[in-house]
Amino acid sequence: MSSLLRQIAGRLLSGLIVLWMVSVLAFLIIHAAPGDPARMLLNANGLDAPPVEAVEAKRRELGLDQPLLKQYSNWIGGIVQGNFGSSYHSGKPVWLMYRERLPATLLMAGLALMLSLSIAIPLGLLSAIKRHSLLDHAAQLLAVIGAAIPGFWIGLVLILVFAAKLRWLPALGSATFKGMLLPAIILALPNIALTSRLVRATTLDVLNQQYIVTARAKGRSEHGLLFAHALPNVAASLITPISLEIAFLLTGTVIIEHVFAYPGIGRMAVEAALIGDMPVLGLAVLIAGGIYVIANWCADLGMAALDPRLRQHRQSSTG
Amino acid sequence: MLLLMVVAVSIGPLFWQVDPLAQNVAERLAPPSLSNPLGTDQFGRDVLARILIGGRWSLLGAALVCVGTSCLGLFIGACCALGPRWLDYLLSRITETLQAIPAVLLALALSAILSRSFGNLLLALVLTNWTWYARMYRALIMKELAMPYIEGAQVIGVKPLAILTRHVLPNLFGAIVVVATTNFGSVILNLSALSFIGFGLNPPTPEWGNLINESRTFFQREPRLMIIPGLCIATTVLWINLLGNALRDRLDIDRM
Repeated sequence: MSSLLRQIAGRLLSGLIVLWMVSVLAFLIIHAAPGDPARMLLNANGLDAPPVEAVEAKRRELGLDQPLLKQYSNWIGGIVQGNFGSSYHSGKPVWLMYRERLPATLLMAGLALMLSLSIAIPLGLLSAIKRHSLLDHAAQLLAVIGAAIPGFWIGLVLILVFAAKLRWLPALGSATFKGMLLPAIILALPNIALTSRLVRATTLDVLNQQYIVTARAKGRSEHGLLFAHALPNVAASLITPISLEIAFLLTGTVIIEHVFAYPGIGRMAVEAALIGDMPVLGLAVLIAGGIYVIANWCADLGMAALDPRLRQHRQSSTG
Repeated sequence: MLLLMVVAVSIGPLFWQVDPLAQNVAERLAPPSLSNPLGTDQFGRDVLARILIGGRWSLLGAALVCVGTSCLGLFIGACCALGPRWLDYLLSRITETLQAIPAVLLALALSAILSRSFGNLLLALVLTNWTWYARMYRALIMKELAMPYIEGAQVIGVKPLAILTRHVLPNLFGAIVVVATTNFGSVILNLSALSFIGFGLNPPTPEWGNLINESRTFFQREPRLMIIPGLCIATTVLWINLLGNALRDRLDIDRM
């Protein structure tokens, strides 16, 4: 039992280390960029050619004259207090820009995740049960093709068909259901391909195990076998890949939001990278890293909650 | 089919000697014809020539990225598997950190820091993609080191480095090829996606990703300009993935 606790503690610790390293990386990204932040911030505030004294004063205010380590601790201290710096471009506080844009991205990614799971899981299960059937082969073909098509391109093709030709959906993304349907579908596509194959493989794996054979020999119906015996184990081994899928979805949003001009944080990150607005990019890196670590933690906890073997451990120790 | 694509972009331009940059204002957005089999773009440039040259950049770039990531990943993976435990722990955490951040986002940040050029885009892709390789090679090398014949070599006094280069690496060669092939497709996709959003080769030079980007302004009137490069990417990646799968089955290397 103590080994299990130690394992969980170890995972928590390595998550924290990763989070800290992500923050160092974000800091370095902000600071390695070419250009003088003081000058850019003054420009953003409307001063086109700031006098030298003003730039110097701004540099002192930002702490740019201090050693790098001190700057890092200042920066981390600010983040803990909710101060993420200001955009070099608009001079607005970065967290305000994110507060405006983040809900749109989360909504779209959430819709994509729902779409992908609600299609991929039944599809994967069905192709595992009816192995080598027409459906199985069709799903396989879909998965192979889905993994090869560039998302941004299929996005443009769908815009062409559904927005330009059929006029069912708007061509530009917006934070409404209609506006996020197309980007969410495209975001979900590669995940459907991946997850359905994974569900199929996992289910086949579980169905071939001894305890299933035993249950079948004891006369359990195929339905009962699948739902009462196989599914819990399939679900347990799917938690980690699905939590990773969330991180994968976020990667996708960067490009897809750009294609649809969707008002989310992905597009904001692309624009920030194109104009060198590093504080905005830095926070994007922090958010992505944070979501990844939290998703991983949730997966670990979920595994512990769902896997009967782990649960038994816990009961025997508390009882 | 894949061979056809590679042959087409490598020697195709020798046969189809039309300048991909030559503008012909009189024949802007012309439909396919005998002199321009795939039609012309908004500046009257020949689309076939641009696709062929563009494919060169895409495939060559992705191949360079794959070679770079393979070397870097193999090196880090070997350090993890052979080095002391603290080094393994440190490198594993660094790997995990880089995996925590979407590669596209990291590549964006890197290309904003470095100046915007095709070389730097490739560098950014190598620096963001090696983590996956490192994890895999770490596991593969560890598995190989646990084999009885390695123990035998250690018993007769072969030095660790010699074990790695003479015994482990040759046995891993098949795996390296498979890993690089399966990853090649996704590198092409990433490369074209980044190039599509405006990082990478500058406009007059064609590349499959930026060809799609350039066609965006006209894609409602001339969908052909957008669909052709996309189909090129999709078919190439499809066949590379199939090749990777076939190689994996043939060499009997299980997916990890």
